[in-house]
Amino acid sequence: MLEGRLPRYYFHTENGDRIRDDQGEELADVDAAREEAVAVLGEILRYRGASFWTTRSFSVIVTDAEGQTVVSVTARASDAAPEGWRLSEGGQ
Amino acid sequence: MTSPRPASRISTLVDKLSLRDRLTPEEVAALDQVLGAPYEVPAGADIVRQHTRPQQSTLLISGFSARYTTLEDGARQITEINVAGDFIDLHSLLMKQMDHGVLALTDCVVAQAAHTRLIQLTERHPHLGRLLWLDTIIDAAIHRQWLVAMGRRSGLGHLAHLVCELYLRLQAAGQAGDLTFDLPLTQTVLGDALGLSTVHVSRLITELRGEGVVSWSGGRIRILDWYRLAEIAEFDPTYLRLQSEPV
Repeated sequence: MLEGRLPRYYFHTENGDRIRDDQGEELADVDAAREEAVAVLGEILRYRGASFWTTRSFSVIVTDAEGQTVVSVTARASDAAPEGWRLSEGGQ
Repeated sequence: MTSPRPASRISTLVDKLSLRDRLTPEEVAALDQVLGAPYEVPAGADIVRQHTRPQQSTLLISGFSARYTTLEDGARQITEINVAGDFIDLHSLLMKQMDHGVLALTDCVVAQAAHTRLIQLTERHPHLGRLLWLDTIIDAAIHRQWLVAMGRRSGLGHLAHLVCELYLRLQAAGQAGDLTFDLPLTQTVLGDALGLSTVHVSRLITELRGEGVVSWSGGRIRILDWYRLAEIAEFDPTYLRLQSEPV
């Protein structure tokens, strides 16, 4: 296992219920934290199914050892399209 | 009261084997005689290394260990959690070379049996030999369930399945109380066992707690609603072969 001087990142999750990560994970850099944040989001959403529409939003927020937010990633469920989205100008 | 100290070095193994078929006093004595003096292995140490060719097999007397394989990027997959009473590398008796490693997850007490003596044991006591054979077959069945869970169960179902399995296995070895047992494993270890991130494991434990199915704190689990837990896990204990039937 990698041990040493690597920065530690904390992956908190939020969908109305907030789960704090107090353990964190040592990762090479912010890019590795981004990769992990997306992987965690995908893993958790994989089996949510239609129940995701109950909470409609899920975020992974990554903080550093000082508690500062480094990156975050959010998935949303809705019955409407994202603002400004159209299937195509001409329609089908 | 959970995880009582085993009455003797083979009592957890004998408890477990006896659930599946009756052991004679001669068989119990023979089993005891093949084992060397118990010794401690600290948490985090390898009990058996991958790719080695052990000349003896190791019985886990107390503690938790894990069969695991490590990938080149350092990612580790645990393919079985072993509990007291498990003959953790009985496979090496016939496989010769270890295709996986076994790691102490907690401080463990183990004892070893030389392969030459195990061969004699199975020749002199064929019924005992079949019971040990059955034990390795059940290991394979545990791996099959692990595979199904990794591929097809939801995260919550997978965690619930692991809790059901460990409870019944610890109970079989006389190491669990009434719906209560100690599981002093970190969320990192549970993540490596479930193939999930520690962050996800942490959420799943919170979810199981939130549904009032288990209380889980300080490495102790109390199952509050077995039927609901088994339902979430779609748990069918057939693969653990916990009923007594002659072999």
